[in-house]
Amino acid sequence: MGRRLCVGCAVAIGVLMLSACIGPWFASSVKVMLFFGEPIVVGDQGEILLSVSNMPDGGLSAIHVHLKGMVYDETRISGLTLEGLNGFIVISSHFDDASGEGSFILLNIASGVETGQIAKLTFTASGRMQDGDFALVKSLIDLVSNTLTPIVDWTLPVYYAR
Amino acid sequence: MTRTPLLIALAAVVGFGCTLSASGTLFGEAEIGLTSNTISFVDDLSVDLMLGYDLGEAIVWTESLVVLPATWVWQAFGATARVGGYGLTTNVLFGASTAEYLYAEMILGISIARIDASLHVAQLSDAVVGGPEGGWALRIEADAGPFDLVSTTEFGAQIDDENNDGITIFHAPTSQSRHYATDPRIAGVGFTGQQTRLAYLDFCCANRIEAALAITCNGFQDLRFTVAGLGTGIPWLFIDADLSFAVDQKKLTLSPGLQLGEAVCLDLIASLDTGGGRSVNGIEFHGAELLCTLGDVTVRDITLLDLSEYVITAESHGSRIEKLADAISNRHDFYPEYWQLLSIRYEREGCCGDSLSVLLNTYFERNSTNLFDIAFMHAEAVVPLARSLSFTLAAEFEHPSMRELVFGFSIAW
Amino acid sequence: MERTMRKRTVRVLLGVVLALATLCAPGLAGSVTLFADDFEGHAVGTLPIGPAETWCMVDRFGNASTIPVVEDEGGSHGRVLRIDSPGASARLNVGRTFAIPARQPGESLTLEFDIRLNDARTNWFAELVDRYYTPSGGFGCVTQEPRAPVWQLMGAHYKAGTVGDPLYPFNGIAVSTMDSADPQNPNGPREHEDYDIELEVGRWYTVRVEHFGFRIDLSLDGVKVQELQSPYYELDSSHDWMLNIGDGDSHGSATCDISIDNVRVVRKAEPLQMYVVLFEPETGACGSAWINGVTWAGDAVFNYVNRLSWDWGDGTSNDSWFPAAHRYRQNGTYTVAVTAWGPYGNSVTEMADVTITNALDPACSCGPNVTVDAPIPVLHVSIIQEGEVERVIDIAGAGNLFDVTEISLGSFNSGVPANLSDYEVVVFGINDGYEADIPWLATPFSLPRLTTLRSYVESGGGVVWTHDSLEWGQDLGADVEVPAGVDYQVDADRSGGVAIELVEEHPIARQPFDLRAAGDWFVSEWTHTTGGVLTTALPVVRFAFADPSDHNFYLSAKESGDGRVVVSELGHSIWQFVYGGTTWPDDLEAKLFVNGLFWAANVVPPDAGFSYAPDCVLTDEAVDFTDMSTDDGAIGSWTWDFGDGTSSGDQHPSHAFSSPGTYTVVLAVTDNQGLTGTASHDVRVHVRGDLDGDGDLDVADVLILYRYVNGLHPLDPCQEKRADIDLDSDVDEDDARALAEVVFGL
Repeated sequence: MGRRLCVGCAVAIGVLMLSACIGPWFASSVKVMLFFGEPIVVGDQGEILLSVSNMPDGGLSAIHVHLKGMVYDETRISGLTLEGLNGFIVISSHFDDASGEGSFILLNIASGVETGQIAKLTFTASGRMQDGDFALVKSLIDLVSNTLTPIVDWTLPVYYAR
Repeated sequence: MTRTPLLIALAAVVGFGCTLSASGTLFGEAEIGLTSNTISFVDDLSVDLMLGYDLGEAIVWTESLVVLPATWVWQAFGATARVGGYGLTTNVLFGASTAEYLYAEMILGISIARIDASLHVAQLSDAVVGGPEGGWALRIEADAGPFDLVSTTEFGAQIDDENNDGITIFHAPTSQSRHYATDPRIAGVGFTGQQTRLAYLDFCCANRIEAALAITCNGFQDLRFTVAGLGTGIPWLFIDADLSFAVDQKKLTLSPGLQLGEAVCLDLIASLDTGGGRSVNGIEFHGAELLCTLGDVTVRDITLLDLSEYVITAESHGSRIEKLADAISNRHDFYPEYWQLLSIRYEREGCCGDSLSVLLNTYFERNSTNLFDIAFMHAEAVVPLARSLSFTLAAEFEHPSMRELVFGFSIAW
Repeated sequence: MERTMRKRTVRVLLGVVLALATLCAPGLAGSVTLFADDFEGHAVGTLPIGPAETWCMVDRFGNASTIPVVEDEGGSHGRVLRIDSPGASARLNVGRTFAIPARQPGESLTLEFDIRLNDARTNWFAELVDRYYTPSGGFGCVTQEPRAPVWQLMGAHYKAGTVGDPLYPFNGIAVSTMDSADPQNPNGPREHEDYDIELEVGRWYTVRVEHFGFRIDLSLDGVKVQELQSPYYELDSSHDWMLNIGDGDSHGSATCDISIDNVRVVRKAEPLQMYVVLFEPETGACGSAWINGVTWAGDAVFNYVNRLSWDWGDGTSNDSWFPAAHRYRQNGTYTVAVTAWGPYGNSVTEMADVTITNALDPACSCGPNVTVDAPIPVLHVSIIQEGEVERVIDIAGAGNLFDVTEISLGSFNSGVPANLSDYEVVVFGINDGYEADIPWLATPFSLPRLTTLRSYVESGGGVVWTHDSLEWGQDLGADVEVPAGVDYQVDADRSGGVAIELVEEHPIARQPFDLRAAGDWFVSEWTHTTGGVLTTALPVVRFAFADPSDHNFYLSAKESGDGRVVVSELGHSIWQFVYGGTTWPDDLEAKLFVNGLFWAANVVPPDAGFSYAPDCVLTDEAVDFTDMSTDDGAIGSWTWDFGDGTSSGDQHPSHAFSSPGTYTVVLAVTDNQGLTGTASHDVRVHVRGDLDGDGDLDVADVLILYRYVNGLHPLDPCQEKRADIDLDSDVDEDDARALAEVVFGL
């Protein structure tokens, strides 16, 4: 009897919680993020997208990843080439396949991107791809908005949902 | 919005706390994983701890994963309760700090007679790329004789089934992932879709007919009739038929398939080469699988002839042959470069009632400079040590050194 | 045309020139402070010469030296110091007078002094030349003593080519032609020299006869050369030349007839075109400038330049051969023009600029200083009896006149007057009563006139008037801000012997002082440098000034008529007597100048200021700082603090900043009175390539530069300068790439 009651309590509370959830129960996302997408490998050619979300001040216009700001698994990834998307052009890029370190500068001269893809990395893969194969280091990345102010409040998300 | 899932979890815990007085079993599992590389023996050390309380009708557990030295991957809480026809499952996943919850899910199920109804509620926080999202869905399954009915009414969430995949949350730096059934990443909070599937078995010559209706917020989406395994009179040829009605399109798809019959020892993986057209040009052989059981030992050999279309999935995904495109889309781990697998499994009843199992997978790759082309080895062992205590060990060797070592304990008391 | 100037000087014994190591700085050895009392008992202008006088001489190159004064052995000439050329100056430190004898006909007197003149006047020298002329009984065609360039003419006919012919005892011909061998001394007559005259048909010739002090008439064919319409004439045949020598006065004349016949006329060179091509003024100390020579160009045949006129560009001009020198009184850039005159009245003018920067150097003035005391409030107490001012007593107050409550009169010589009650004491304020006399008194102030003090007490043979309460309208002491111990210089420039005396010994702010024209001069006018002209011809004028300022007074005076030139010195004045002319004019207009700095000069602190260039400063780029400070005196020191820990003492330093930021550059200047002023500017230093001004080179700068190159973002001129990464003077894609390379490599 007590057991059933307790279970009933739990269910009732859960339903109550549920009823409170009808309707938009989540705040709009305001997290400013820069992140790699999922590497997609076909055969030995892979590509991975670099995206931003909720960039302020007119969007992201310039990104400078200093040396070692981007690291990748050098044992399974090589031959990286970078291509800008959505108005971004690659000003400089350097990838050291021996140490798995990369650096690059992307500029969006005309405007800025608030949410969306900014670059695509194509590479030669040998082995199974995982999310952790490409990583960014926040302290070695400079972001500049469309209004030429530095963007400092941004996060490198750690969790992804697929 | 961190309170709601907490409260849900708390409710579950409180709800079942009353049953603590009853006898229950505490159980725990610990898994320690070591990965190494050519430079250092220990590159990564991960610890996966699960602690739970089994009350019979309810199980409450928590699991946390830490990758040393400093990465606490996540902390998961869950509770499952089943009383009579009611079931309640709650899962909450927290990230590195308690204030940052990642995902919360609650599944309330009712089974009455032959009808299973379940209400899925899920919420994904904005700490996860792809969020924040939330939604719920109601699924009703009914099994009445030859009829199977599955109806899912979606309110901003999807439930995993053969069309949908649920949600997998990845931790990028360590590539760890967790899979949950309810995917709230459907835009909208009101009615977002309705999928109804009715399957009827044994209709005339068809093995199974399915009718699926999908309705979204925008209205009717499509209606599909699927028949699988239509016999054609040719013993090895069967046809899958798919008739779909979309808003402005009607499509009939006939897919010929090859059925090679019962496998005794050797399974051939072959497919019909239709050239994309309406003719059958030939039979393509992609590989073969040999399965042989000798007493407690099971030997399996997979050989792939064509790595561009079929791959061997990893042991965590069953070590099967799968189409490359399917493996990629299903996000199954696979080895794109190994064409042969030799798997030896030994299983027998161990002492104290648990089973002892040892598995050794050896993978071979093409054109390597290794002896016999051995490239990779994966070994697993589960050793029961005592009653309610077992030891698990997993190791991977990638030429020329060991790559990963995982060992764990499983305790129940 | 005659040369305008001819200088000969009287003998002067210079004596030993003292060491030149010490310049004639004010107040050096030999200077004596004079007070008005010094003149007491002496006739004005005749102060006995004291001991240890020296002349302070500044020559035309600005070199100062001291020269002891020695008695000239020609005693009657007084003490003179010869200065040989314009621009030189001398100063006598101690007042002295010279009595110069009356002029003799034909005599000239050299009186050369120099004062620091602050006006633009011509530097003319009066020459007093002793001519040891001994008339030898009439002129005749006699040979003159070697000292005097007189030539003999023998009355005879001259035949070309025959010299010494007893039939033709003609010794010399005082005829000079353009062919004179020595163009510098075109008064060609050489003694005992013969001339072959070659005259050319169709040519212009000048026949000139010169004789110092004599007048010579030359007549051609019976017509006096001077009377010819044109001094040029053409010879085409033989002519009769008549030479008549006389002094034009009363000494008679002799006539020698010369006939020149058989004239061989040859063609000579064309009349010359004159070109003065180059001259370069040299500068020296104390604003002096001189020209040692000019470069001539023109015909090969040297042209006969008989006069050089110099216009110095400061309003003065004079004629002078080389070296031509001038002392400028003010700094600046002057255009010196030289005009060379030829024999036909033809001339050519050439100009050159000279820049003077050292005219106001303190060492260029030789004047001792006299201390001016702080203003002393003075009460003029008049004792009036029966309307007549019996006595005026000046009582110097101390500080605030409000403190004065008693006015004590000393003892009367003849005892306390019995009718003391008839006396009234009227106390005047300081400038009370003077306002009417001084039309331009600045900021007049007034003190109330006290009414009479009637209560008195006999005390000690004197009388003490008391007043219970004094109500003064103004606190005098607080208004006057003249620091004590201020030096002033009183220089007098004397021309023609008129002196201005400064009656007050110490000119004090807001106290009147008198200037008196001393000497037997008929004062015609006083002029003040502000332009006001006093119409009074009083010998004494009274001035009072409220504020520190320079004041110059001009006294135009006329000679009293007896020919006496009295030179006296006032205070520490230096006299210069200059005039232009070869004869002493009867009505000599003399100008007397007093340069007075009666108050403390330069109480105004300097107004510091500076500018710098370039406006957009990058790191490690030299920034030129230009000092623009002004001062009413002279700024002596500059101290720059660049705000980055470095400093400089140059006036116009150049500095480079090594790191970016905003630096406050401070300039502190100190003038010659020790007063200081500061100015500061914030100088913003940028890093090349740092377009957003955050001090670092980062990707934001790259983005700005790429946007600018694509026309999507403007850059201000300083950003454009910083954006020129490859230093090719424009901003383009190459700079964007270069900046990206630099940032990428960081």
